[in-house]
Amino acid sequence: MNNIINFDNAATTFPKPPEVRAAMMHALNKCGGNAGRGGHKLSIMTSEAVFDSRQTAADFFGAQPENVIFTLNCTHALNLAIQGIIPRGGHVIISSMEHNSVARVVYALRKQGVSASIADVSPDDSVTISNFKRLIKRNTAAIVCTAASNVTGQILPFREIGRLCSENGICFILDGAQGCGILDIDLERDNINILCTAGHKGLYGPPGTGMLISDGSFTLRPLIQGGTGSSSMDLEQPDFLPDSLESGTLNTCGIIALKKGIDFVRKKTCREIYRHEDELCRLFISQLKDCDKVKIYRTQGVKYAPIVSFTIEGEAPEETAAKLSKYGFCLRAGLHCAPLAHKAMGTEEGTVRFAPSVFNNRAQVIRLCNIVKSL
Amino acid sequence: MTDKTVITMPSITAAIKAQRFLRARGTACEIQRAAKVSKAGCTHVIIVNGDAKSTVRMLRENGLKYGIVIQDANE
Repeated sequence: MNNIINFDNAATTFPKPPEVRAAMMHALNKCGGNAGRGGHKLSIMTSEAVFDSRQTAADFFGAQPENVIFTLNCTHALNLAIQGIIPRGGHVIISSMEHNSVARVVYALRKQGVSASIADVSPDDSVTISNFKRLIKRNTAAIVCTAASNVTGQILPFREIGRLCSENGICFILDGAQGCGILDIDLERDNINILCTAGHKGLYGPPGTGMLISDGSFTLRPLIQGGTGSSSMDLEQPDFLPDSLESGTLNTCGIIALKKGIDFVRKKTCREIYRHEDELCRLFISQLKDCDKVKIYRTQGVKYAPIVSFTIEGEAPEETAAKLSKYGFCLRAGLHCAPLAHKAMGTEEGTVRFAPSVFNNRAQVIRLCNIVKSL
Repeated sequence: MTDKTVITMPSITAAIKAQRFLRARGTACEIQRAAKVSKAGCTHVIIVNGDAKSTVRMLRENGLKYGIVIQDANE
C-alpha cells in the first residue's frame, strides 16, 4: 500500500483524514443503537450523534437539519430527487455534461411520460445559461445540472441557473458530487432547491454516504416506504422530513464519520482545498504541455474543478491507466459513467482522468508526469 | 409532587432539534420514548419540568415542530 498513489479522488477520496477513520471506529464501538428506534440510552446517544452530522451538514450548506436526508451515495440522492419531483407529463432539463446518475434516471422517466431536454454546455457561461433558458416550457418541473463535470472538471454556472429556476418557479436540483468540498455552495444564497452530493468524495466521508439536502420548498414523493421509528401506527409514509425519505436503518457509522469529514473540509476551507488541488492540476498540465503525444481536454478561459482529462496518442485510455497502475498510480480511464459528456467532447473512446485530493503533493505529480512522458 | 409537561414530537430529529433549542435558552428538558403508544404509534417526547406554556410558545414562535402537549403530574 505504501507504493499506492491515488489520483482517482473524483471517484472517491483516499486516504481519509485520521479523524474520519477514528470516528468510524468510535461509532462502531460506542454508537451501537438504532437511531430513532427506541428510548434507551444507546438509541438516544446514536440518534444524537446522527443529529450532530445533520446539523453539521445543514450549517455547511445553509439548510435546516431536518432537511438533510442521508443516502447511500449521490446517485441514490439524485434518484430520490428526480423521481420524487417530476410528475408524469412533466418536463425536465439536464445539461450535456451529466453523469448517468442523472441521465439514466431521466431516460427511465421518459418511458413513463416525462419529456426531457438536454442543454448544451458551452465554454462560454452566458451561452450555457441561454441554452437552458430557451428550453424552459410551461410544464418544466425541474432543471438538473452538475456543479462541475466529472470528466473535464468544467464548473457550470450553477448559481445563474439557480436564479433562472427561481425566476421561473422551477425546482433546481444540483448534482454536487464534484463540487462539494471544493466550491462554496449554499442552498439559500445560490437558489438551490435540492442539493445532492456524495459524502465520500470531496467531503472526505466514508463510502456508503451521500446526502440529499432540501430547502424545503418542494415536496418529494418517497421512492422507498418502510420503518422510520415515527408515526408507526399509520400505514401512510410520514409526510415530514427527514422521515419521509429515510426508511430503514441508517448507515450510522458512516454518517457519524461523515461529520468529521465535513469538519475537516470546513477547517481547511473549500477555498484552500481548491487552491491546493488546482495548483496540482496546473502543475500536471505544465509538465505535460510540451509532450506532443499527450492531449489535455481543457479550454482556455473556462473555470475548472480539480480534474484533468487526458489521452495519449495511439493508446486506449484503459491501456494508459493500466500502465500507470503498474507504477502504483491510480487513475480512472474510460467514460466515467458520463457518456453524454464524452459525446459532447468527441471522446467516445474515453479519457484518463487525473483527480488529486488534499493529500497529494507536487512530488507525486512530477513523478506521475515523468512516467506519462516515458510511456 | 412535580408537574411535568410532556410534548410529543413527530420524529427523533424534531425532538433533538427542539431539545437543543430549549437547552440553549436555559430550559432543561429530556427526550424519552412516549410511555404509551399513541394513536399515531410509537413516538418520542420531550419532557419539561413545570408548566410549559412559555416553552411551547417558544417552539411555536420559532417554527419548531411538535405534537400534543400533555400536562402530567408525576411524583
